[in-house]
Amino acid sequence: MTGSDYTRRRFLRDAVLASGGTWLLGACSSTPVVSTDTAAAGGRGGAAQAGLPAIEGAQLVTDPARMPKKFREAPEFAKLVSEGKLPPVAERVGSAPLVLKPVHSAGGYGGEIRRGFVGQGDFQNAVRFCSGPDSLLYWDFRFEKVVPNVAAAYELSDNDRVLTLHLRKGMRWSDGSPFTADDLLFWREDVSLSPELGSGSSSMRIGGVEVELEKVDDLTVRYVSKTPNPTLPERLAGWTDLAGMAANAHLGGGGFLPKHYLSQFHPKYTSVDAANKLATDAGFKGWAAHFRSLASWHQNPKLPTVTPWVLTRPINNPPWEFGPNPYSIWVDDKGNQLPYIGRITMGNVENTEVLALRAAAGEYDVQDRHLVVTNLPVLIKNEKRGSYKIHRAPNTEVDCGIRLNLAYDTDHELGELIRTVEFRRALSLGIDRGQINEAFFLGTCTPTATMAARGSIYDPGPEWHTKWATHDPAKANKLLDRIGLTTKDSAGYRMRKDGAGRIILDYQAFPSIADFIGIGEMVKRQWQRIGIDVNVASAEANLLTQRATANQLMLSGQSVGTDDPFLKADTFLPTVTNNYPGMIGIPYAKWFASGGKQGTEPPDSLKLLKDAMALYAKGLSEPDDDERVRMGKKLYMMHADQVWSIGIAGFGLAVNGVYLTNNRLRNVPARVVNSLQMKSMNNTYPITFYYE
Amino acid sequence: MPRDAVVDEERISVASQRQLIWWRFRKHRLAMAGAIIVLFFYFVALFGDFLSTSDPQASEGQRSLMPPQAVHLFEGASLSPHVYAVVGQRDPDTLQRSYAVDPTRRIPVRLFAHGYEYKFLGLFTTDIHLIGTEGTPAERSLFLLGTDQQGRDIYSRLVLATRTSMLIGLTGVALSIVFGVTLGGISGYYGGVVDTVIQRVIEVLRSIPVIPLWMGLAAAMPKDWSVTQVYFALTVILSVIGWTELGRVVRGRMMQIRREDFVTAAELVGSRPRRVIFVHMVPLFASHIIAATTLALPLMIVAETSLSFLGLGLRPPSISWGVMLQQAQNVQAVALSPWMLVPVIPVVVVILAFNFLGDGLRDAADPYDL
Amino acid sequence: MLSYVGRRLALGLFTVWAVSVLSFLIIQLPQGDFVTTHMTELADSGNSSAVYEAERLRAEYGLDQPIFVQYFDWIGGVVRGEFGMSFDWNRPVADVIGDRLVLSMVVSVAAIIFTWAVALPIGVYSAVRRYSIGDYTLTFLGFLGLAVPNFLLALVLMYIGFAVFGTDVGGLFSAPYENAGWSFAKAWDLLKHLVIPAIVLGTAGAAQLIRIMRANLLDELRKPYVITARAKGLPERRVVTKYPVRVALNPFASSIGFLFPQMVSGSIVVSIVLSLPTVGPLLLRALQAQDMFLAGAIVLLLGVMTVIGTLVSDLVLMWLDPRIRHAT
Repeated sequence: MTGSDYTRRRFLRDAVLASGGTWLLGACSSTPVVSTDTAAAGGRGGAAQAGLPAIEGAQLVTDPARMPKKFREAPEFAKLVSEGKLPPVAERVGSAPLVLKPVHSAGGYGGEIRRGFVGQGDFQNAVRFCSGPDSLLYWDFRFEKVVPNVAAAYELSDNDRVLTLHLRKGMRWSDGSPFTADDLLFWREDVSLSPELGSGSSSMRIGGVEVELEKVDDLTVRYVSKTPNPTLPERLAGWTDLAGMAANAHLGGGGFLPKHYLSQFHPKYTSVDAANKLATDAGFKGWAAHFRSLASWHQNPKLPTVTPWVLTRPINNPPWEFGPNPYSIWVDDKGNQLPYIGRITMGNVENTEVLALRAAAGEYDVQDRHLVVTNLPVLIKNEKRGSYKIHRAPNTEVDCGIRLNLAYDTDHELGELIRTVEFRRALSLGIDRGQINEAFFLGTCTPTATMAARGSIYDPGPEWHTKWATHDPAKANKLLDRIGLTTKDSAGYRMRKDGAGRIILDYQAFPSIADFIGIGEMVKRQWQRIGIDVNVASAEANLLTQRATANQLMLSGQSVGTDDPFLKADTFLPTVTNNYPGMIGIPYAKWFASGGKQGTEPPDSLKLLKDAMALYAKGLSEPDDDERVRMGKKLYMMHADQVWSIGIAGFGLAVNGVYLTNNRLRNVPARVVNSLQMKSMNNTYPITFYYE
Repeated sequence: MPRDAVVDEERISVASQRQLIWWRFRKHRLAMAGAIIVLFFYFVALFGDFLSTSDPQASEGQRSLMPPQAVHLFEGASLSPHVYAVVGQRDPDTLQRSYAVDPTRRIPVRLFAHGYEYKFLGLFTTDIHLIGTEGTPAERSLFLLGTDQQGRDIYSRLVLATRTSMLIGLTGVALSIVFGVTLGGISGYYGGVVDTVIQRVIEVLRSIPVIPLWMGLAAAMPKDWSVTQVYFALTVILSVIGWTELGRVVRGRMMQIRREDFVTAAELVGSRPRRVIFVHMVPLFASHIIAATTLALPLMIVAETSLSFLGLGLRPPSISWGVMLQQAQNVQAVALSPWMLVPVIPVVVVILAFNFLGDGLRDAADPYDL
Repeated sequence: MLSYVGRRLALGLFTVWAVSVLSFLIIQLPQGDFVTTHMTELADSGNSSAVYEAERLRAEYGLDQPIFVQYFDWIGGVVRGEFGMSFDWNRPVADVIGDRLVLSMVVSVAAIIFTWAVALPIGVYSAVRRYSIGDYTLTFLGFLGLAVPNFLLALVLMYIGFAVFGTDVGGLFSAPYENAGWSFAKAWDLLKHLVIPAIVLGTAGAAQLIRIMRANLLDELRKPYVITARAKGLPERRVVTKYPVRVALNPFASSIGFLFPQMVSGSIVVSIVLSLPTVGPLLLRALQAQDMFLAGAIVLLLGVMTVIGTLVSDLVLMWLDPRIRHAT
């Protein structure tokens, strides 16, 4: 009989007792750090986790008294300046540069960062590491408040209906042209709202009405909404279609675009024929496809950008390479223009096992993408040999759960069962989360319901953390008996009420950040004890999208929940109408989005879902921050109580949670918030990394 | 002349063709070994549940990635097979689970013990297994080849995977033979336009790369079919394409013997072409057909493992050697849990056995071998 | 005979056309298209807030046309030498394939050289020293190479290379040489990386070759002319190599035509495991992403090469064996 497990909690308890209250950490860095972050309100990132160092990061300096007066630059730029090919650095960073105080110390120039990426679909790899980020606003490193980024300052007024952005004086694009309000307007009027190019930005809409973008002067713009729009700064800062050129320009989003460069390819500024001719010359079918390709940060080296690194070799001609942006607006508090490390090289890998082995061999200087939790032991084992350090960054979301399609109706009886709250609660109680955590996540996740991060501003309290999310087969059986599923067949499985045999649920998944098929198999065994049979099948991601949009999926294993319902609610509430994360209820989402004209209205059994959607819509427009946070908490409470998705284990390392850095790199923060909204790992601030 | 030789000669001259083949086959020792091994594997496939110890789907996170257990045969001087209980814990630094033997807890191992319930050959339910434990259920105590990531017993999974892997190719191969012999025979016998058309069809089919074909077909299957059903259907389809090799060879041989006297004689007597082809001509290279069959089966097995790796063949929750190898196809397994690679051994052994068997059969049945 | 060649060429063309139609159909079989893939990938990387008009994209890519219209558009372009644009790579298909085709050939050639260099001597030795310990051991090793699934062998060898020898993990070039111009150093770097792929890809073929070589040579060695040569006092080595080995090599000459397409198809899995920048992984990703033109072009290319291979084989056989020549 296998003995008792020596859980992480027990180890820490012993460690605490042994060391008189001082926290020790896991194998994260060689110097033990005493955590002082005990009182952290944790923003949306949650409280400091036991056993891991405190969150730290570079800090934005806005106090004019601390702004540097003299500037320095990389030697290669100094040389070009002396040859007269570049203006001097003080001119290049503009009069209002973005000043960052590096987390540990100022550094010196030189070196390159090597990384790995996996195929053409992996363009987010660079976006989440070396794009700056180039969004107009950003979060502070604790994920607590929105701070200026590309824009110099912002303010909300008129009951949060008007957001004013001030741009940086003297700021330039990477080719030297000035960056002005015209670039934001060009984006909004000629791209975002264009029927051929626009992405139908949902972030520029509130209460069904478009947000107007107005130019005040060359350095000031205003976003004007009809109803209060308090979350707009957060949308400009987080992971939305407004968040910067690197992530979104090729999709018609981003918030701003280089007008001086792209207008020559836009029919409004030339002519349709001229634009089409340029397109066909380049091998594209029409000017729209050409435009999109030109606006792609990872494919077009000629595209002017504001990111700290500029593309020198595109992703579709590996290796993928970046060089330093001479007009980078980032400087450190001593006046050194950032980044310190000018070159980034990314090698293409055909499969992730090779990537893991190369990482273990020390061939990468910073690698966060595609390192899965199950590779951790091998990576840790080779730390010394590869001369790197492994960092762990627990996620702010629930890495593993089961998404339910509340609108499922292909098999009416099963659909009705899914819409019965006792059924969902029973399914959730039938799962042994500790097992799944051990087998698939090496014990690094926390068993949980679909919930906000522990200690985040939305955390409703400990009694909600595992609401309906403990392992209680007895209670689950009672609930199932109570709703009338009392007939069982010879194998102990519950029968359908219409007499057509056993209840067989349908679970489909594809292995992405974790082995969701294996997890399905384990859940299948666990549900045997409560008499529910389930068919586990794997399907390509593509197929799942198709099936989700056609409302054919029933259950699917993937990540669930969110760290902020007002910024990203796609798996949390029925808000998305056209892809796999929205499978919680695509017909309902259509109904909500169209105001009742399309889609299906949620039935009475899901009345609370309607209430939640109403609360969500209200919260989006709620100017009082505290009230909005209270509403967010209520949403989490409702979701957990009604089990609209089944949370299994979360706040772990499954998504970008494991990253390694070369031992010779400095200014690597001991721990960062790992969140999509923060575009992690941009928040490690690689612009401040340097080699010693 | 020695008396034995006289008797032998007499026996040889009156022995039937089948007996001759058998006697020649027997002399080829490697082929005999191959035959015995193949039969052994089919035996294992048949009696899978009886031979396994744990329910192959019994997972337990706490015993994830356990190395194989040592079975001790002796207690002092007496024969008393047993294993010791194992205690596991996870190192919070390296995140590896380590397992230590607890010598105070002894679990006896018995023959014909009680274990999990199963249906023997689909006939009756029983719970007797060849090997099992006394006291604690085998699922929690006996791990002859260690466990996989979900804590499932690898030995039991391997035994049951044998069934799937050994049986999966049979239909496909059978169909290939039917198509190959029929169409190749027709092509070679009639010649002319018929031959040209069939040859072109063969050429087109051969030119299509297998993997895209497989992917396209796999994706086009009805959604509600189970993975095994899909794979079965695909095997059938692939055999429809895979007969080409056999077809070409049959056609070649047919053309060689087309003008032989005995064929002309049969035609003159009035035998219909079907009879001439299948009764008179085909048996001449029956040996080659048999050899081709025994060599095609291992290819099916290899194909299954490769396609499972790409996620196109059998997939979990089905169990086959290919699926088990696919789950072991990662750095973690190779570096830290190499016992997960153990399915490679039966794959290699079976392929070798089939190859030797096929060689032996071909040598034995070929009448022109000196 | 010229008419025979002419006829074969014409029929070959027909086959190629049939292959093109079948390939195109097969690629279209899975539900969805590249736009679906693209949107799935966006959603997967957290971009679900980008509300896309899939229909608009489809119209742009021409994916909303009925299938035979798409086919004729495509094949018309192919005949003119325009292979279209790869949706995934956003580069012309010809560029994408071209880069990798050369490397595919290099890997194949290396594997073939390994196969022959290993198998021929072993085959000859096995035949000459029949039933000896050497024979059994080498044949057994050859079989082992055939039986072990090559992707597993690839992973294990790659790991051993990493753990024991500290070699580069997978790939065909070290980082500094990847983009550099060709030089002696780069060629040497490539050679070092070719060792594992050649071994993995070559072992299966080597086993086959050993067996066939051995069988053929055994047949030849029993023939009267060999006995005569020996009786006349020729040294054993000359007896074996002067004629028997050359005759035994006949079947290989005729199978040369198929080597390349077989290599490319057969090496897909290994190329993925070892992360080789060859055509195999390119094809797999194109199929999964439904990057129609790229996948279609590669499949067509393989089909064409097979057809050419068949033609070459038939011609070689015809040249070698007078019986077939006279029969046509």
